[in-house]
Amino acid sequence: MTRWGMVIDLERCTACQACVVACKVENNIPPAGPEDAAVGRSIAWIRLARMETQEHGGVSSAQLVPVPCMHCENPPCVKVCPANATRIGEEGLVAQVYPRCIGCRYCTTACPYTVRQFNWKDAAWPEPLDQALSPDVSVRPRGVVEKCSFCHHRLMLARDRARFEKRELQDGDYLPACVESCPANAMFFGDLDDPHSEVSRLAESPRAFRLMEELGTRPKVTYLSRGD
Amino acid sequence: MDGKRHSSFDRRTFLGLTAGVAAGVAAGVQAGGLLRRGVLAIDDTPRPKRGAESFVVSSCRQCSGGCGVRVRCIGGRPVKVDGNPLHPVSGGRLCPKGQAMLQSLFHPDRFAGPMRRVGPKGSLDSFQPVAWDEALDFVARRLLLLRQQGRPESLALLRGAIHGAGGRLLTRFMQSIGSPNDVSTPRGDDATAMALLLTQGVSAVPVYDLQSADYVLAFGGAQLETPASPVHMMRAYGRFRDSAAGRRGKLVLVGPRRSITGTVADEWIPIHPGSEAIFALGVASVLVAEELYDKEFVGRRGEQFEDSPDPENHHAEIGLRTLLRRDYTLDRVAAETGVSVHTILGVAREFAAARPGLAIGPRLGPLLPGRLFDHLAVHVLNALVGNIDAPGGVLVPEAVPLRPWPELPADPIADAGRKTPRLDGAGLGQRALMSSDAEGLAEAILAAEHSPVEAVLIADADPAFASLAPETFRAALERVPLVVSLASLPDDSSLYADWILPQSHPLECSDLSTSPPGVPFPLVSHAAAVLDRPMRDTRSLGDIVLQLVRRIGEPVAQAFPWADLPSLLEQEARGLHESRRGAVIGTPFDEAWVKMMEGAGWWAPGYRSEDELWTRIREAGGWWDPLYDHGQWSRVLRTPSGRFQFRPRELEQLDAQRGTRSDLLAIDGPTSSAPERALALTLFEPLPIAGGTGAELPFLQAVIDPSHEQGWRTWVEVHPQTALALQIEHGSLVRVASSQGSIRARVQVTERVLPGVAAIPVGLGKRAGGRWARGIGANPLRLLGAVRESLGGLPDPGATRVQLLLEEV
Repeated sequence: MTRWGMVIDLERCTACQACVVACKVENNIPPAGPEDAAVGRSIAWIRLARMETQEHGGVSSAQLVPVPCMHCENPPCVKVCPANATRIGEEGLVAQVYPRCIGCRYCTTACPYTVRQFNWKDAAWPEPLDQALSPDVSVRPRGVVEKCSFCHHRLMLARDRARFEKRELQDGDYLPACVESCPANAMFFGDLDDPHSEVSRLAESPRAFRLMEELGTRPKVTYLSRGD
Repeated sequence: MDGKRHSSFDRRTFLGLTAGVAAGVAAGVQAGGLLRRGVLAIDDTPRPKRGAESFVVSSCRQCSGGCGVRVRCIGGRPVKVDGNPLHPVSGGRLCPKGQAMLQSLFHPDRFAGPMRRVGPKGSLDSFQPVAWDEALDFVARRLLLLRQQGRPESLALLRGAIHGAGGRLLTRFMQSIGSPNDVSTPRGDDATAMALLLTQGVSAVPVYDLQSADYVLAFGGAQLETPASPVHMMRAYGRFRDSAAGRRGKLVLVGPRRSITGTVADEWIPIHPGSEAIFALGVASVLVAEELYDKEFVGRRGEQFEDSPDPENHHAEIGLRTLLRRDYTLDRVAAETGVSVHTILGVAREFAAARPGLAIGPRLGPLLPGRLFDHLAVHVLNALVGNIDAPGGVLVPEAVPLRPWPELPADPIADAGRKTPRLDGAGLGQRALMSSDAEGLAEAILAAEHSPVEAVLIADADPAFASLAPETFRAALERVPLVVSLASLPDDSSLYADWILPQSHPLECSDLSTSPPGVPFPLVSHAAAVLDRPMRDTRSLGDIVLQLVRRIGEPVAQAFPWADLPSLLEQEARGLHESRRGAVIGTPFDEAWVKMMEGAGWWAPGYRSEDELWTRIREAGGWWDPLYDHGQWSRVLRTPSGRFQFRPRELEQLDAQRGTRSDLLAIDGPTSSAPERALALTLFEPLPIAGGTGAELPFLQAVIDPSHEQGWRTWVEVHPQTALALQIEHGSLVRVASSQGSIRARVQVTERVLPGVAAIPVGLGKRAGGRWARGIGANPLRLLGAVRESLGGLPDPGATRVQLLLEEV
């Protein structure tokens, strides 16, 4: 069985945010202005979270951690959705079905990682910015919730390509936009159930941890802690 | 919220209605109409058009980093930009600025075509569209007139970092018209290049081989955020921290602010602002005292390390060893830097033990120069551990073998013009070490009764915003009789232009660019035009230059013997074949193969003819020679003695010329003399808006600094102790005032800066720049005084002191 997952090596991450911008371009996320940003309504499917730690001597230190959707094995968002608009697929991808979403935002509240975002208004692309929109990803209307899909459309494209070339899907055929862009090579993606894949090997690393595992969400995004 | 569009019918009504229809409730004609309107209401989200997928190989020019990119197009329409996997700089990766490139291509506020100013300077409303012919004719006539009057030197060029054919054509343009006033505005590499010139006699920006280093001592703060080539550096950092391959380098940041690099680093050593050189020399003094330095390199390749027996030359008497022992005692260094003796000793021992240890000079960003004193001191540290031109050390980039252009034609007017002294004063007196001095040019324009500059071209630069004296430039541009801007999107300098000849976007034209600073290998990147024709009525920089010279006529046009831009590019690329080295860029396997062959003395071109080479360069995206030969001492040590100058002789000659006394002892900009309550201004350039560009794009505005959610406005970082002393709180609005002016900023109370420091990001506060940049934030470059550091004569942003005054809300 395939189980798609991601590994983020915090040792290498330079917090450059290439992943954040790559995701916005890939997934037709509308540009937000200062007003939206001021009230926390600009949308990002992956963001950098600042995690404060206390160092010796009382000097606080922070770590910047890229946070996409964790695509939990036991996703709290799915349980609360009254419209069956969010569900976990056979390969472990937690999907959002926009036409079914009624905008109740139970899921945004239930998600402990706060990665789900609500479209408060109609998306707008001043001409000719709309020309850069990708047909692979549908544009979301006002009133629905959206979130990181692990660039699910890229999986479909990769499958088509593999089928056309009459071969099986291989490790590395399908990469989300964030992983593809990462300059420091800090992000990895692949099948966690494939013992030969790079992610499954890295996810077993002694440095591996997952965010808020104690909640029993069983996230499929694994972080590798810094070794200092 | 926008409620008007769907006021008569919202989504829930529609869902209810469809449910009703499904339940068999009779739906009348009216409801049917409602249903149709409902479908339309939901369906008005954009539906991007489908089409065939294609990929075009090009290069990114959002900064001077020189990444090769691959643009994904749907039906000929670019929808995504990623790194070109074959390209040695980007390796298939890209930074946020590159990722946001399409927003600059499709920016709604780009100039529609050439414009002429008909109203007062300083406003976009003053411009009126004109035809290209009219604009080019006018500018060419005026330049011709300057030549006819015998003063071609009164033409000046203000340029950004341009590594493509347009940049080479501009150089030629200035030469053939006959003006020496070719001035570059970004200054981020100035001090580090000067340090290399003084110590090694090489005129280049040094390259730091991070990926092979084990221990990196980074000064300043922007080594990872805004190095010369960000993606190349971050990829190297990924390998530096390749735990899977069993290696993990240690990164230590030394500076007054814990930047993103400092957050990522293993250790942050906070030091007093302006004491970087003293810290570096303190470490050097431990290396020497404890005999931890590389005796072989220092003895065989170095000079002025030991005391010189020459009694005639006073300065050369004492060598670095004596100097360090005498002046850089640990107690003194600890007092000046605020770092404990214990820490200095620890750093020195680690630096020496990790072979190779690499020290990187204070990097502040693409616009901001460091001080030469700091860069010299840090570079001396590398030489002490023998880390010059060694793997994991400081490398000297190799030149690119493009085919040289024909000699300039004989032209007495141009010859005479070129021989006039530069108006910016670069190369003379206090500015002897500079090749150009943008702020000096602005001062010269304002100093004389009539502007000595009759006409100025501004290309890929925005000195009225992104320079160390934006207000001086604004005043200077008001005075120059003819200002021609080549901006694509309105920028602050174009507000003061008389004519705007808008350049095409890089994705709209083809180009051939040379290695960016920060990479050691010779590299040529080819960019293909992604769009068949420009979005707006614009032309490429190269075409604009060629069309201007055609109009100016002989003998200027004779210096440009190419039919058009594509034929120039093809001609230049022939030099790559003639160099009989290197290969078309390729996979890691190709790279290893070429290295192996060249290492054994073979040349493995992989193509049969010049034409095939040109075709393959365009397909793959470039040409390079991956083999870096370490230890070519005649190439990397080009001082008269062929040795590394620990106390550069050239400085002594300069001192004699200008009557100063500058050696590595000079400690300028003491922090202790700061007036009461004044804070040391520390500027930094966040990657998304570094170099003065990026704020125009909404995706970059949103990600300016990940450390706190502060997009879309300017903030000032102060330490909790400072905030307490000044009685200001986190989030309060303050006026940051210097002797030059003041700006408004939001207070961030954070332990990322030292007490007594006010840290402000550069890149916001534009007067133009389109709807997403105009009027957003404030430009702290306006706070800088005209203070210059004593050693290299560079403007010194670190010398400015500011006060924070609480604003009434």
